[in-house]
Amino acid sequence: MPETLGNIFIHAAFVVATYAIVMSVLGARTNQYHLVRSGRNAVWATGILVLSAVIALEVCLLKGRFHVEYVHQYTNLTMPIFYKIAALWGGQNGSLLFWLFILMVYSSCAVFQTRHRNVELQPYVVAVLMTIALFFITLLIFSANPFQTMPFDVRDGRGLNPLLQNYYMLIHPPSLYLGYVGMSVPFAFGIAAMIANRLDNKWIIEVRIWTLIAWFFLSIGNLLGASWAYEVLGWGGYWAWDPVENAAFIPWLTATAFLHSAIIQEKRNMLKTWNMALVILSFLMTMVGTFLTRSGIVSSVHSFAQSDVGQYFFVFLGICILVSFGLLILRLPSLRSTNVLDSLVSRESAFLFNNLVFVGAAFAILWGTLFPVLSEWVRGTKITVGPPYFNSVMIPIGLVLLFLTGFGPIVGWRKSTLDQLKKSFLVPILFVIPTSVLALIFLRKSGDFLTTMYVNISISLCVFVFVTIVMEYWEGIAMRARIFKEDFMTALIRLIASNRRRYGGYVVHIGIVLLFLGFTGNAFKVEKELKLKPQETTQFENYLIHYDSLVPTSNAHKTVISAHLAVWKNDKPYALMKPARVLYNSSVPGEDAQPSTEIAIKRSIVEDLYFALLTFDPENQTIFVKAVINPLVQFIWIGGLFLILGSVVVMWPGANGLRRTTYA
Amino acid sequence: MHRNLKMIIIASVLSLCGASFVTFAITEEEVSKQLKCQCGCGFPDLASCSCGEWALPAKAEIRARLARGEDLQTILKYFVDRHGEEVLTSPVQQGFNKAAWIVPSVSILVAAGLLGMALYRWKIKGDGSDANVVTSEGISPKDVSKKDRPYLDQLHKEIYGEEET
Repeated sequence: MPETLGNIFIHAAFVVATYAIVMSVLGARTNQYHLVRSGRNAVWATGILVLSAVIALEVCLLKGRFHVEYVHQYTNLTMPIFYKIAALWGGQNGSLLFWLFILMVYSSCAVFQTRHRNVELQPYVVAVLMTIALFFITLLIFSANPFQTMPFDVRDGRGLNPLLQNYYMLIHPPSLYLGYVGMSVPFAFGIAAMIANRLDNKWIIEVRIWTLIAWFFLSIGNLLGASWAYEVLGWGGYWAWDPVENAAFIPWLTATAFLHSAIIQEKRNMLKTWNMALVILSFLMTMVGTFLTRSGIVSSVHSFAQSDVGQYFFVFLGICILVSFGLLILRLPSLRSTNVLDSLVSRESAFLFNNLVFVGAAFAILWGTLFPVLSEWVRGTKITVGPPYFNSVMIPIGLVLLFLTGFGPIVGWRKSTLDQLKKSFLVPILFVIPTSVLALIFLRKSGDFLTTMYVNISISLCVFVFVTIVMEYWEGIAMRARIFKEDFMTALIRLIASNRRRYGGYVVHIGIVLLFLGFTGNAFKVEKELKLKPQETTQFENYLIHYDSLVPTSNAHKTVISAHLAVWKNDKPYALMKPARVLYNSSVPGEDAQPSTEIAIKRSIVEDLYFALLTFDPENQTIFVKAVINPLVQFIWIGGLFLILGSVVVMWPGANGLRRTTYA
Repeated sequence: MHRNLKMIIIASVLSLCGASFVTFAITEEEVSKQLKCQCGCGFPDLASCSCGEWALPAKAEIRARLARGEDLQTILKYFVDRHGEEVLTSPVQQGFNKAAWIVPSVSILVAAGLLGMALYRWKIKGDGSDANVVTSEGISPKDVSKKDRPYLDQLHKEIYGEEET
């Protein structure tokens, strides 16, 4: 029964979403407000219908209605309840419904927000958002129906992929989807502003806020993805430049570019066309990413099962490109800047170059991701574009970005003289030179010349950016202490509160510095495969590893076989670590248990010691273990926390923020 | 002082260049990082995988070939001949594949050049037209006399507690 209801809800949503589009456009074109209001109400109605469909699918998943194909494919009787809930986004069809649900949540919020503000844009915002929703509903009805039933009855299901049976499954996909889908709202505002020809600075304020929200979730999603790969997959790293990882990173880059260039439009009334292009690009990149994940066009560990949804995405993507860039060309006269550049050495120029590098980075990643497809078309030969390619292309780009992160804040708006620049650079340079020399002396053994250079430059730039940020804070705190006679902490708190966007942004930049430090540590990574017999002891770098025995434990759902390892460091007991192989019992008769890995990590700020149990001989208990030393990797997670904290500071609502927005 | 500084810079550059001339014997890990495991594990390279069906025999093959004194290119060629170009983790820099390496950097350089030119032209256009500049307050500088400017700045500071970003 819930599956029948789910189907009805989806079909009803199709009708109501179509109604919302027609009423909104008609109301806007004929200036009939009651039609616009009706269209707006239809958004909420569609939202309720989609929510009902989600509830219907969850009921099917939780109640084990295995004759529903999706339920049979992604759950089984022994799966814990959390994974049954998460199975909603575990497969192609359910995740499309989940995507639609998030889109409706965003749409409802956007419509609620614009009921008094930017009312002239609202009907078009509704029309664009509902068109996107209609596309997903169409997919659900004609290509990827999660309520599809099987002609025969089944007692149990196949269960979720073992790699997905992890707590990250509960948080990583939702946050990534919140980021991906969130880019639809700025896109809708941008398109609405172009259709309505309201291209003053009002739309950019709305768009900036919504982009910030989407960017925030996309950042969390990417970080959680990296953490998941590190803790679960068992290859000892956190980022593999997999096409799907790239697809999530590209819109993050274009959105970051936009968040910087939007400041120039707000402050100087410049770069309107560029900003509009970035908003469009960020949305299109989420669509490209989704197309890559779901079409099977590129091979990826993340890919969903192949289906014909790729064709739908391809057509929809084409329409979006034509309409959005067509409108952009049409509105070019209204998007011209009313201001001019005062100096080539200014914050505006720095921001422009930062934008260039961000978009260049996005293009380089997209190019590398799509190149295997291009190669197959042109030469008929399949090739792989993997980490060596991306590392060699992206490291220099990343270092330029890191430099601009420090350079931007120390050049003034409009114009900086040479004397001002010298003064601003003096203190950071005084820190950078000794750092660079020390790095050169101590880090020479890190590998080849290029790696040594990159490591040196990266560490020096991290220091440079960090010092510039500290200086920015210090100057602000000193000024407040002098004028308002405030103590350090009060001055710091009030300084951040006085301009959350600026000082929160600097917290994000500190996060970026820490992330780069973590990435730099990868140059010193050591990994080795160890073959150990019970009671054998071996040396791995400065660790002494003693293998005790294999210990099996099992329940109805899985069997866990752990290798017990005692680790000494500098002749002192350091850790007891238990890497394991997990065998998930299959509910399908005759099908083998599905193997997975449980990683053991001993974390420290200097380096992580990481073990993955690759295989074992059940007879003589000999094990093959992958041992990895990952230096500075903790800085990535700490940097991620700073990035999130800074974003929260920037987004935090408040009277000052509103005044500033109105003022800008 | 200047001479000392020059000496430090020259010494640093020489030491860096010296590092580039040090040659290391090629290791199994270096080779296996340039190959992709064909077992379908989805790991980034052969070095990361230890499956019995593909990775372990492939690594044994690499060790044997390294022991025979074969160089990196010969070992990679052996794998390409058997499994096609797809086995390499990055495209070889020849023929059409060169585009993979060249296009991103050339695009960024061309875009940087165009941006530089645009900025220069923008700046030329702006020279002497300061009166057209509109501040974020929506006020053109021509409307703000030198006498009024400090008051406007003070007002801004009092409202927002800090100067503009």
